[in-house]
Amino acid sequence: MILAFNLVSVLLCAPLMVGCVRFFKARLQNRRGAPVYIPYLQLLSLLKKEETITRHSSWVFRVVPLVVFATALFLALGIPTVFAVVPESVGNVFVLAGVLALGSAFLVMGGMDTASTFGNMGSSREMTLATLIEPSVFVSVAALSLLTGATTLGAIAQVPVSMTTAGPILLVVLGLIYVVLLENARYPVDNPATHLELTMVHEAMLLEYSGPSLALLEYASAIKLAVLGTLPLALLLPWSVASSFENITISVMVFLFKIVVAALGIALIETAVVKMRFYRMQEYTGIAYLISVAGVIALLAL
Amino acid sequence: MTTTALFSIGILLTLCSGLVTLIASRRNTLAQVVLMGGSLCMGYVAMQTFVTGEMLVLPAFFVMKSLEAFFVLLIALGSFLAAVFAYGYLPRYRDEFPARRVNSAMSLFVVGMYAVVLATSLPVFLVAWELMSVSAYFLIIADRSPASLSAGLFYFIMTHIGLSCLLAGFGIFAQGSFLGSWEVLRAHAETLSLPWLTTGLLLLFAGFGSKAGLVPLHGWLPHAHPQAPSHASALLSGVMLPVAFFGFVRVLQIVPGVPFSVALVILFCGLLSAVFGALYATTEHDVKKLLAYSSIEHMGLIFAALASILLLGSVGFTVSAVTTGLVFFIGIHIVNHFFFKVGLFFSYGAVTSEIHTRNLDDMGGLAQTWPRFSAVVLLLSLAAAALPPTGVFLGEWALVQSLVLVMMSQVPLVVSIVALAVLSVVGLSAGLALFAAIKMFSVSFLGRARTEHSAHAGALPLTLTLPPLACALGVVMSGLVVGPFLSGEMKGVVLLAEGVLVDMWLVAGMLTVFALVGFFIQRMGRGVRVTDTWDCGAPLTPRMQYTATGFAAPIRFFFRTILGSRKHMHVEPVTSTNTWIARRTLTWEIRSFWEDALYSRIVNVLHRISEWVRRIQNGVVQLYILVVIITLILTTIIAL
Repeated sequence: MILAFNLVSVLLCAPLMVGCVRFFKARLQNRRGAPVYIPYLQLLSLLKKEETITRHSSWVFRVVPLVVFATALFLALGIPTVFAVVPESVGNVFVLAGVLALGSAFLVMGGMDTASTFGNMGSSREMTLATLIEPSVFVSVAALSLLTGATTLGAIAQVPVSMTTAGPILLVVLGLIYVVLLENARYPVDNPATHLELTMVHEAMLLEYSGPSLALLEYASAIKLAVLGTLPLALLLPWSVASSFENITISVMVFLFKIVVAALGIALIETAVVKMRFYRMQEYTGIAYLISVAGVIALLAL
Repeated sequence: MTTTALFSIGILLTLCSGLVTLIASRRNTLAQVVLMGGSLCMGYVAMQTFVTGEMLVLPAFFVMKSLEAFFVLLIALGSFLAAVFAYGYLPRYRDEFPARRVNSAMSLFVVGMYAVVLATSLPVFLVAWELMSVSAYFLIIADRSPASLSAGLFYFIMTHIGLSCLLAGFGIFAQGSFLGSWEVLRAHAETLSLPWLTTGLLLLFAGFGSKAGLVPLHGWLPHAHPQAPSHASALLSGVMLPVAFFGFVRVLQIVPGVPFSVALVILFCGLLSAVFGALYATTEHDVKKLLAYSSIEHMGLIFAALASILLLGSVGFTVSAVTTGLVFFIGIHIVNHFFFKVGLFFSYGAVTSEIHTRNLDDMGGLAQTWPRFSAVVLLLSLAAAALPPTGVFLGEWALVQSLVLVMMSQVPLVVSIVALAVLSVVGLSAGLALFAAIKMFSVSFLGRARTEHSAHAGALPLTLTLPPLACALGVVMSGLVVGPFLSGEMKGVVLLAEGVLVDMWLVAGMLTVFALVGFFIQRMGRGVRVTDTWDCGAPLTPRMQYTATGFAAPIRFFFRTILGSRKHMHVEPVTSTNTWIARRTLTWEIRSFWEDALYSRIVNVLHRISEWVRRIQNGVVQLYILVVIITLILTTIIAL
């Protein structure tokens, strides 16, 4: 019951986060900005459209949106958002990392199954990024385990926040933010707003998709953003993830609050930071790795 | 029928499969059927021993316990699948791989591996080892092409350097007598002093490690494995490497304890192999070489896990969940690596037999030609990438989970930091393996065909597609079945109870349910229309797609200091008046770091020594006699 409620609330709120990011970004750049509910309308209108498929693709092209969507839902089930209750095997941190990689791998195949250089380029880049970030993913996932003292994220509400643990927690959260920005194809790794071949990674792979398939992929990336984007906040404010059904309205309000704050944070980063050149990504992933390692060592030394 | 009789029949049938092709010309079919029969007998015997757990004393100095039964089962399964595959595969290469040559070498190779695993004494073991190595050489040079011969020579030299390491190492443990059984060796080993123990172990590690393809003694592997016929490559990678690992486990059974320094060396070599194997696999465009490099990576991971157990043991750390988790990883990873590597060698062997190239850059679009076969290869590639819901994921998951458990328990900070380092390296190699596997599948099967051969691939016979299908099923089922199997039968309750196992049914089930939801959403649109790929108005050609080489370009860039690719543009002017009119040739290659830094230097030194030695060999007979006399005198002095 709690699980279903968790899942449904993430599914309902995910497009809202995308809308919020766009809105805040526009405001920060002195534009009026579209209303925050626009992503919902986009998804609905995509669902009603006809789908075009290139003649140079195989069955894999059609399966990719399903798998990517499934991995996003899996993440939504396994990562605590409103309630800190997750199923045992699904919520295991390394299983989540594996499922995340599964989603990237299938997205890459979707880009490769188009016979277009554009999609291929996005795939090659996405695969490279997924490879380079993998050590950081492993280490920050290990850090999460050490922090919560358990192998699932269900124990996230028990993170002991005090003056002594504040330093390590901050390091872990910072490392996690690096990973999350990369996994969600955000600045400074990727630019979600352009369709210019120099800058894009994620959008290039989606280029050939249309109609309901595109809706699935867009929705999946929105869910990923909402789930992973609020995770660092949940670590900083452990009380924000409720452990029972009492005060359900407050829990939902807190979740909405986290979404808005995370969106504001991403919008701030995207306004203040310049996108990095792709061939400097080893610096980004290197820093992410070092911060995560520092976090783990600080936790171990406690 | 008793098990011993069945065992003898199994061995005899395996040997006969070679004889049959020698006696009756062009009887490939008969040979493969006989080999299948032999494998079934051996598999049955091994299965029975494995399930009952009883010790089985077999004729001719062989003994089978559950550990040996595990490996015998692997060999039997491998040779069975290889026989099914070769049934349809070898007739396609009547000229390149003559059935006589391949089948006779194959039967000796399989028997050699059985004997290595089952030997109870050192002499039998060494003879079996040599039988396995030499018949593998004949498999590698089966097509007698210049490339195969040079790869075979490389292999032959390396395997005999390995053998001499083994002889020296066992010599230390046996204290000179090579005729003892393992018990005699164990008794000797307990009396050894620490320096001798360390030296012996390091020599044996070098011997078995070079066979298992560990960096830096891996040089022969990526050259040799691809040259053999595909079913032989599959056995070389999927079965012979684990048998080499088994050899080292056998050594660990006879030594009283492993010193900290040796464990550290093994860990270092294992991790080095895991990273280098995966890195070279990402940049490779010859698909069989890619698979060979991937084998290096996975053997590295297995050895690293073994070294972690030894290291934790030598610092006195005993948490049952961690050790059980690591042992579980080693066991299941050997099985899974077998399944996906054998399956991929079979699959790409079948592809190659149809489109006549091993180069990924010339493939493409095969998923449209062979939709069902491509699903099989996709599953195997997901396994090679260690992604859920395959069993490989479960294995690697147990590895990283155990490492985190080490960090979570109260251990000295140094141990935790070593565990963290291992975790990071495993992460890097997992990322690179993901890259290599996804690149391999998507360049060869997705998109458009890049060549005519690839566009007009014909149908594949059932004998070529069934063995890969069996492997794909194996690699998926191993993840799903192993949990209940372990918890019920093999006292693996510890694993589940202490959180060292996930329920893969739940993971796979959840993913399937969610994908089904997506399936219904996908149907909600207003139908599907087939169009051209978006092309900006100018028609696209297949040449515009990314090749495997182009796909891996960013990886080559980021790891350029290690990979050291060499690009050379040769410009030859056509006319003297205009320098711009010129014939340009671009040669571009990836240098092998180890061949440059290690192998070629050793070769240079050897060359210089032989140049120097040649001065003595000048045709003057008196000088030769002098050398012989000096040698005799020196030997006498040393002996006295």
